[in-house]
Amino acid sequence: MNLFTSSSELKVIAAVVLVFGAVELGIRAIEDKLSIDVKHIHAIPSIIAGLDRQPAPHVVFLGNSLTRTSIRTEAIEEVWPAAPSMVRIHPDDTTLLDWYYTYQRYLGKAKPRPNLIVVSFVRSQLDDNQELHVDRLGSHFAGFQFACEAFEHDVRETGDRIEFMLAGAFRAMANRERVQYRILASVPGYKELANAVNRGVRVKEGKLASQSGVPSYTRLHRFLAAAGARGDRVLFVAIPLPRPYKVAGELRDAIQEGGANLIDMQGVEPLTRQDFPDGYHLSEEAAPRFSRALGRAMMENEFVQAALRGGAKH
Amino acid sequence: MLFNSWTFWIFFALVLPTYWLLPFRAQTRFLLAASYLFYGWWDWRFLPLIAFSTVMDFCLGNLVAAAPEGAPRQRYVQISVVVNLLLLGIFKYYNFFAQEVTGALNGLGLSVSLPFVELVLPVGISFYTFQSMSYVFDIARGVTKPATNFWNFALYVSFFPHLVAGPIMRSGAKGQDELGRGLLKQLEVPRTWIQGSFAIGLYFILIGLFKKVVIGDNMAALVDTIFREDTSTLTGAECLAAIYAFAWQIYADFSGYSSIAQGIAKWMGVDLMHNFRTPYLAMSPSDFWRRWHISLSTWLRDYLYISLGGNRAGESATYRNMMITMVLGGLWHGANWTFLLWGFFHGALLCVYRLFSWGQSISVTLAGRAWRVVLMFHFVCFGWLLFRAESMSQVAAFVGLILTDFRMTPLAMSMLALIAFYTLPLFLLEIWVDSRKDMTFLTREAWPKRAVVYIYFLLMLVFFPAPTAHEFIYFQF
Repeated sequence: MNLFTSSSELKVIAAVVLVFGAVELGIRAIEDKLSIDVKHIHAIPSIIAGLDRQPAPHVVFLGNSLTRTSIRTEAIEEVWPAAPSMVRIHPDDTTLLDWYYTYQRYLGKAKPRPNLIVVSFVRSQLDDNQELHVDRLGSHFAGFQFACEAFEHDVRETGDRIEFMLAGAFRAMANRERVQYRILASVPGYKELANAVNRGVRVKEGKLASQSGVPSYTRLHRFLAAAGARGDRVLFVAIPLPRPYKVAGELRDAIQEGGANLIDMQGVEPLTRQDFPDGYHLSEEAAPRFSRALGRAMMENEFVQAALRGGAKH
Repeated sequence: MLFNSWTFWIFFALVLPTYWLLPFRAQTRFLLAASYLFYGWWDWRFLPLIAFSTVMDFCLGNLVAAAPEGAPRQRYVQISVVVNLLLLGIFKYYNFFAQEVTGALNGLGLSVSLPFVELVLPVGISFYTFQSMSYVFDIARGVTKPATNFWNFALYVSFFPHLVAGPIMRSGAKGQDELGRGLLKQLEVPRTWIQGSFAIGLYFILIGLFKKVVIGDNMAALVDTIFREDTSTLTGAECLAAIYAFAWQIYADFSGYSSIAQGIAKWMGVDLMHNFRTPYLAMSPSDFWRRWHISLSTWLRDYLYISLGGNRAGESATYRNMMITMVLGGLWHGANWTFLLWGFFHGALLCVYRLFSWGQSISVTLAGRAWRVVLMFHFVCFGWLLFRAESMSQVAAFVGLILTDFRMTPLAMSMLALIAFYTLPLFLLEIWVDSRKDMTFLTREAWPKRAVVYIYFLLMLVFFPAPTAHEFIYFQF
């Protein structure tokens, strides 16, 4: 069998390969300009390295866009005399699994070790039912370095594994969602439409998740085990949303069993719906107020104080 | 194992070279095993059903061929029809009828409760059952002979590229030349690699994946967003945009599947018929049905409409036959009133066009053709509303909003813009294809033209997949 019976078909294939090569190079060249998020992810190693130049104790805030918009380190410093040195890592639209691999990949070998890692979350972002972003896991968070672990525990389907590898190898695959968004954002009204579509997708996923019964926390256990093995202390902070949510008892138990601590910041600082202009993130005015409240809560928390003193874990 | 999944392409990458390395007879057995593996991947419990259907119709085909013409032959045909339809009835329609009968009897004051049966609908059952039945019908009509051996027939029923969503291939009887080469006839002779097969297969696969992954799934996201909303929060423009989106979703989804099936079969040296020919360029209902789901519409025409008398028994009988054919065609899609109404609507449309002779092929100007195409597209869209709606009250609400509250909101504007973004290039390509009256003409065009089209397809596949991948709609039928 001779598949390539025509030289013109070979030319077509060669043209396709050439164009895709050019696209890949182009994406690599403009990657940081595609979104501030990619730029931030690329900056994570230098953010971690920067801790070394700041006086101890060190605190790393880890989360997603909620951490970026809600937690302002300068506001925390206003209320916390002798506040620790703080940095924030907040890749957008991420949940526990992304944070776990971010921790493993970027913080795993950090010297000196941070005294405290603060993971901020909302609703069910710490349970196992969260959507898998295979592209970003393969390119930004787990990468080839943690591919074996990811395939063993998290990325179990063949198709997902292939996409994971492709995203690890090609920036065009890794950034395709961002390219899509940049192009479609030029359509008038697209953002509102995308929000409506995403709401529907989330409702559907939420229904599926709720059908799966009691939430499980195996990924959280892995995270806490990895942190425990390195002697790192982890504090979880439940961030407020316009509508209060319940922090599951199973989650509290898992955190406690893993030697970590939880501060539920819901209701600590009075917030109204006007403080959430997009219905999810805190406004520019409300974020410093919330951060000051968080600073006070951390300052008064024994677990935090012990961690900053470098004391024994409990 | 979906055509738009990596798992399928790994499976196919293993099957294809092995298949071509084997001698002819071993090819048949190997493809049969691969087809059963492909089908069992969904649910192995479906395998005995397709095996039963295959064995039964193979035996009945031989019995029909051996029986004298007349009543004995008809008896075997009736057995095939009854058993096949019984299988379909149990898996697909029983619960619907049980529910409707119970409701009707309770409405009359009779307290009756028919048992509800928890059954998983075997994927693709309507496709392979119809294909298998057509084989027996053709033998009974004397236009074809039984399969030369059981394995060829088994592969004819289960050939994996078209197993779960068609096209419903014929065996290759006399007088079916318009449907392309019959599948059974192709499977009974050694397949040879014909020059140009790679190019044609590649074209079908790329356009099919583009239609399914880029257009079908992205349209699905828009459709689902509007159809699940409370209608009191929608405007007519949003409803209309959702109906347009569904028109493209179902077309891209189903024709995409058929196209990929054609492509992968072509790479195995087998031609599958064209199931779609630019249907949204149809100017009349009969024109639409010559272009849409051709394998089903021709099946219904040949084995139902003509068996009922077709247009040979006078005008009123012709209208009756058209209505029966289209309503049953609607019911083929599933047990739901909306499917029945969809079939009824298309039957009525065919009757009205015939009554006023609107569908007659006359030479029209470009403008004349354009308005006929636009009008027909909107009739088809109304049919799609019936097809997609969750209930008749949703149909009424959508129509009411379109007629009384046609406010162009930002949501509607952005939906229409997105529909245009995704579908306009395909639509232009279809106009080009239609003008050349050759579905594969692009494969013979100069290589730069092909390269541009393929690069567009592939870039869209990489950068514009939908937020969530969907199953092919027609798997449920």
